[in-house]
Amino acid sequence: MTKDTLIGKGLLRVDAAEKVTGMAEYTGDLDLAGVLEAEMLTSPYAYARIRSIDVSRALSLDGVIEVMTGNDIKGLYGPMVKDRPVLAQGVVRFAGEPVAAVAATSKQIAKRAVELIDVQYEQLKPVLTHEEALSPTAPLLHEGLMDYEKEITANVIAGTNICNHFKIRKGDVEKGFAESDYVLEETYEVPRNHHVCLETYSVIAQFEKEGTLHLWTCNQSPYVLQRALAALFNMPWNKVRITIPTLGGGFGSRVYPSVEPAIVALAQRSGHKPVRLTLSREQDFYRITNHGCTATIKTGVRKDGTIMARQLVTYWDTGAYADCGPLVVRNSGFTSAGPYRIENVKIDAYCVYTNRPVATAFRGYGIPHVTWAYECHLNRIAHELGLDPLEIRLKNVIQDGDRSHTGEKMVAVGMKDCLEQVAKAANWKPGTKPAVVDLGDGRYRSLGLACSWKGTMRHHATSATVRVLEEGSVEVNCSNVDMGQGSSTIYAQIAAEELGIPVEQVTVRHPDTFITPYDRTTSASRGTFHGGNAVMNAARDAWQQVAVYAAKVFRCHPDDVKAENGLIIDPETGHKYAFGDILNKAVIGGVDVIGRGNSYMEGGTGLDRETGQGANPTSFWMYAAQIVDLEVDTRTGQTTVHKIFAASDVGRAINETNCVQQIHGGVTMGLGIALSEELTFDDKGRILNNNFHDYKIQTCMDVPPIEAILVEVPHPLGPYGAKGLGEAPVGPVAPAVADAVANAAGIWIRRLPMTPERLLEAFRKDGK
Amino acid sequence: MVNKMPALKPFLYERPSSLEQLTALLADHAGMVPGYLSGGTDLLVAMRTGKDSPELVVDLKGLPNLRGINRCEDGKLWIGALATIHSLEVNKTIRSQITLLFEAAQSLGSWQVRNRGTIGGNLANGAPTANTAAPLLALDAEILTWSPVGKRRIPVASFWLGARKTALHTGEIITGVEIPLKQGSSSAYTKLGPRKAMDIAIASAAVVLSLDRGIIQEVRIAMGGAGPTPLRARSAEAYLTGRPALAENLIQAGKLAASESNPRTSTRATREYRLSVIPVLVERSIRSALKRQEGLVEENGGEDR
Repeated sequence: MTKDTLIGKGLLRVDAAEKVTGMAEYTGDLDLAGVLEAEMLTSPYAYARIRSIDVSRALSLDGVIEVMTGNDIKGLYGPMVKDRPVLAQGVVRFAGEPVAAVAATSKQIAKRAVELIDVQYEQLKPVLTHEEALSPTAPLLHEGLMDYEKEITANVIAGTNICNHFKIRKGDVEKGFAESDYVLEETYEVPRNHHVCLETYSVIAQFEKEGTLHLWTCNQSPYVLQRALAALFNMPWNKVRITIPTLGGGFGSRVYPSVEPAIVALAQRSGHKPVRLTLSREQDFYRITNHGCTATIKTGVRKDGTIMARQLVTYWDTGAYADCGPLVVRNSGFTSAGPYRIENVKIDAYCVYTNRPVATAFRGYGIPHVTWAYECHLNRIAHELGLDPLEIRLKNVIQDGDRSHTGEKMVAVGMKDCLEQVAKAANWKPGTKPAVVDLGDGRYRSLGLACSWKGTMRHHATSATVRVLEEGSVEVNCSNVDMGQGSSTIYAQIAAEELGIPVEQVTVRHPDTFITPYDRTTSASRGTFHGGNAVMNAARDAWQQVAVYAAKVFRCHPDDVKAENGLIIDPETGHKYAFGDILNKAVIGGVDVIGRGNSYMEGGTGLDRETGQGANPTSFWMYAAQIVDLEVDTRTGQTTVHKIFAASDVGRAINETNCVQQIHGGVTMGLGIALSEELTFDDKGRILNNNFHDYKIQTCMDVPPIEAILVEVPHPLGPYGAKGLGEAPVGPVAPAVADAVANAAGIWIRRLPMTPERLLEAFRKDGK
Repeated sequence: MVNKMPALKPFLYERPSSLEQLTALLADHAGMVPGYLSGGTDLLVAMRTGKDSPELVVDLKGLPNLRGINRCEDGKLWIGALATIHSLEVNKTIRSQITLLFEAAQSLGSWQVRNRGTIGGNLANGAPTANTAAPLLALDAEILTWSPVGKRRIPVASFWLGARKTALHTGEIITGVEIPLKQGSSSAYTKLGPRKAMDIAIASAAVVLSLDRGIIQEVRIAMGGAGPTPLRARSAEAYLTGRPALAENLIQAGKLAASESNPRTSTRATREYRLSVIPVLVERSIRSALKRQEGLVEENGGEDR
């Protein structure tokens, strides 16, 4: 229709100016009349029975409106297993679990009221690791597990603390090991991390007078929340309004309900006043975390590096409530043998309850954990066989037409392209091991390589509408949330492209379930692919309607009508008209046009519960390969990363700048996981470093130059060929760092993060 | 409670504009332990988390004569207690003649913290890993104080009494720091932390030395994070004095410094790790300071530029 002019351009983000000037309005900035402030009393114990709760002193404090405990609100929630109470019901299962909630006229009063609540606990011995949880003598943290409502994904095992057991059975691994020249088995560990959104969690709930529950929250999936709250509070969906103001980061930590139910419950009792909860940074660390994972991986290879068989057993510490843990375990499970052609694969992944804070989605959905295991492991195998890490990958990587480990026939596979392009950028020649530079005084410099793949989720629906207002300005409505990844810019660009108007004429609305149509979730790097398709289809639908009106005015066929720079061109005369001129001429009194678009694909399949086989479990795949150039100081254990080369297959870059920024962000997050980030716990299950003083994210002084390489292997179903991107760059960083450390100093690390202290210990053990 | 911010306790806030007013204020609130506020980068954090809850907060920023960095007539450098950390890193005298203090200032926190935080606050807070502490110890500086009962000059070596304990009496404030400037000496500060910014040192080493024809003449070595207070590595100093600046001597000095340390295990690092890196930091600081001796010849007599 129009020329491909805007697709691929590195246009400035549509929300850049409002963000850098501080004009952007976040949930915590909203100024609602009469708002009450909430605070939660949380459990100091990881596992305890609640003997009694006395709220009388809190209630008598001036300014306190409501104090609630588990006695006041029943019902369970949870996206995979409905196992979680709004407020603790007789038992607390993690330190930090909400026990009581207060609404008061000020935050200060709410905090004082919380201090006046008297809870008597009977402490129980907490289960803090997956090993403890799987011991035959471990208490069952959820005795009602079998009776809970649950999704089909949650393959729970009766009489255990396992809330999902995911399996792949493909070929015969024992036969594969027997046919191998070399078999290696190792165990890798990833500790719990935190998402570290710039904005701490904030939610406001109000029961409006017409019976609507209105929630303003920094959640990344409004429709998930709408349905969960409607179910919990027994309301029709169309009476639950979720409004998402500007979001200050998500990274998976905001897909499912967390503190919202308790605030809604307070709002039910506040006499139509809005109730707000804004968490402190310290509280935010307890709200939700990433999974810890232990992966035992065994691989058999031929001398030439051909992978014959691979087996993984992974244990995921999901904490006190399942949240989306079972799905994380499944979706990372079916990719966890890595992006390689392997005939014989056996995967057992276990999602395990413990008495630790709840773990949820985290940028990559478990893929960074399994990538750490399978990439470090492959680098070790390459080393043992005397092969170059690049060479062994090029030999085994999955390519177009190959079958995945679930039996999917793969298309548009950019894995090899990513490896080749990143190697070229870093000047790493296949078949040559990276050189080690001795910098003196115990410092060595070298390169390291790793790659990764990631599926998205199933073909879930996303809808969009594009409204062309008569004078030619355009509104895009989509509920996929721009949490900083830049989806609004992508949607504006696509709508402008399809309608032949400048991007500046497009406004992308904030998600609001009363206005913007259904979207499954903002997760799984699906915003550009599914949201992009929906917006593209909606804009095309809108354009077709505009073209019909224009054809009426021009007396031509609608297909012959075109628009450029916001003007509609008469195919016969070449004269240009404003949208308003045409729409007004076509319909007396004028008209707006509403285009509708969906992204929904047929043919999605599940995965067989016993074999993990399924031909179409994911709408698309993402691929990433990275090379890290670093220096390691064997006298102090410190690392200095000089540069990271990061290639990602984006299918087609809709916005080049955005893609580069997504890679920068993902690599930075991956570098934190690699080097410095770890939630540490005491022996009572309490987080020791729930602040930025002690939880070490990478600062701008630590992050090296990152060379982003956009590989474009177009996807047949993606908008303009685009795939997703956001999550894939996180995973390869840590194993590439470990490979560089191994190449530079000859030590093999199996547990993250690679802190100076841990590296120094490894050097010592190695006799360096 | 594990994840709860306690309600901020009520407190009085006063901002005296003279020492006379401060005297009167302290007399009026006798019995209260004032929390002194300058940059606020330590006090406000402690009040927010409930680690400190002073009933009386006295803002020192209204007091006169506590700002600036000046050369004294006796050749010393005076730094006002309210001088910000950033003002240290841009000061020409400090940059050219007190390199270790420049390095310590430059590697403290972030721009925001350096713009707020003051040298007086950094010292009074009493942390053994404070960036300015080990350098001032190696420089043999003096801390100048005031209290209603009079002024004191406290040699830095006797300023730190224990973990977070200083020689300051209740109500006493730091007014400034005096640093002797010596021709021919060079210095270096090495800090080790898991990050390159926004980090407190796991351990640090500060060295001031002078050299004559390859022989170390005078050397002072101070360590942060090596014990409950900043520590001098006196046996390492004694060992190096009069010895040639050779690699083996530097290594030996590092070992001696570690043997004088008594670090603790904290959430940031274990005692063992600190003991492993202290000799490396000491050795590397000495080496950097020695390297700067080569530059001194050309810069000899170089005044504020």
